[in-house]
Amino acid sequence: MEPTDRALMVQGLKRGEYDLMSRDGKDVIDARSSRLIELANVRLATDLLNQIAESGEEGRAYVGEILEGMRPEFEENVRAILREYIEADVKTSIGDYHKIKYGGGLKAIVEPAKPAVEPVKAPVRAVEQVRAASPEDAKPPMSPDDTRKLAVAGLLARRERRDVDSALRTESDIISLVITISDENMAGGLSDESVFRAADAMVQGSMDGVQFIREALMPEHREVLLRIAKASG
Amino acid sequence: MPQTVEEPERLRRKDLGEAPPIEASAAVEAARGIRYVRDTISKALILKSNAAVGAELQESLKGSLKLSKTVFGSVGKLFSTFSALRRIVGGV
Repeated sequence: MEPTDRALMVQGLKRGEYDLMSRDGKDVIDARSSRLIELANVRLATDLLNQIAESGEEGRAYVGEILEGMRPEFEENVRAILREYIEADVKTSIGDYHKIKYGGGLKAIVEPAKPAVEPVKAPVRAVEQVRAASPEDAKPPMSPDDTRKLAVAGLLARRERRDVDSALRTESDIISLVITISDENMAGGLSDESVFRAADAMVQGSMDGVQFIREALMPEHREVLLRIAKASG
Repeated sequence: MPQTVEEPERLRRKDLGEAPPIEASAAVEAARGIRYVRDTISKALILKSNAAVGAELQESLKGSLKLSKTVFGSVGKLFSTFSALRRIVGGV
């Protein structure tokens, strides 16, 4: 199976570089992808737990209990933050992400994401603001922006024969570029799909020396891209 | 009886243009059931990738050591800390 962009990133490679490799070379990268993704996840968990452990005595006590397997409910919350961070595909570190989104303390770890099987036991000291899941926590309906992102991810997924979720997770920069370009050229009758198809056509025909979709969306190729997008409607 | 063959020298960056003769490496491949990567681009990219993987391993180890020290007061619990971290990320 083709490694995801994240699996390549962990191995210090870009998709374009991977595509240049022979089958034997790709096999080396493919074979170690899952182990190295696990290692990268361990590093993320380490960074997150170190930050919490350093936040004070209470944090250190909780992290100790999580590591010793005494707090499966909090362990699941750590996993949820890791998943969320990976899916957000942001450049900031997980420590900063945790600080920005959850204030950096214990709250997100001891706060049940969904009703816990057992009530959360009091830690070394009582933790304030332990909030139970409420109807407001329910996932909101998808926004128009998210729908657009999903549609572009669908085009990418079909092109690369991969699943939409992974395209959505790992190709957020391409998806944003397509949407931005079509927004900027809405007056010219362009849509997300026409921009994407034009970029794809440029890659297929090596037009303007372009080899990758991301490259086709760069400003230096914009004129050619828009010409093709407008011509194809 | 498995055939005993001499293993070619490990490739280094400076050796990229001097891969072992095809016949020699083919014998090793057959004896060991492995395949050598022969094209220069792949070899160069794998070497580059190995450096990134090494750095990732090092950071992971440093983070685990720090966690063990902070939480348990000693780096002596490194292995149990690392195992716990693997358990935690298992469901991600």
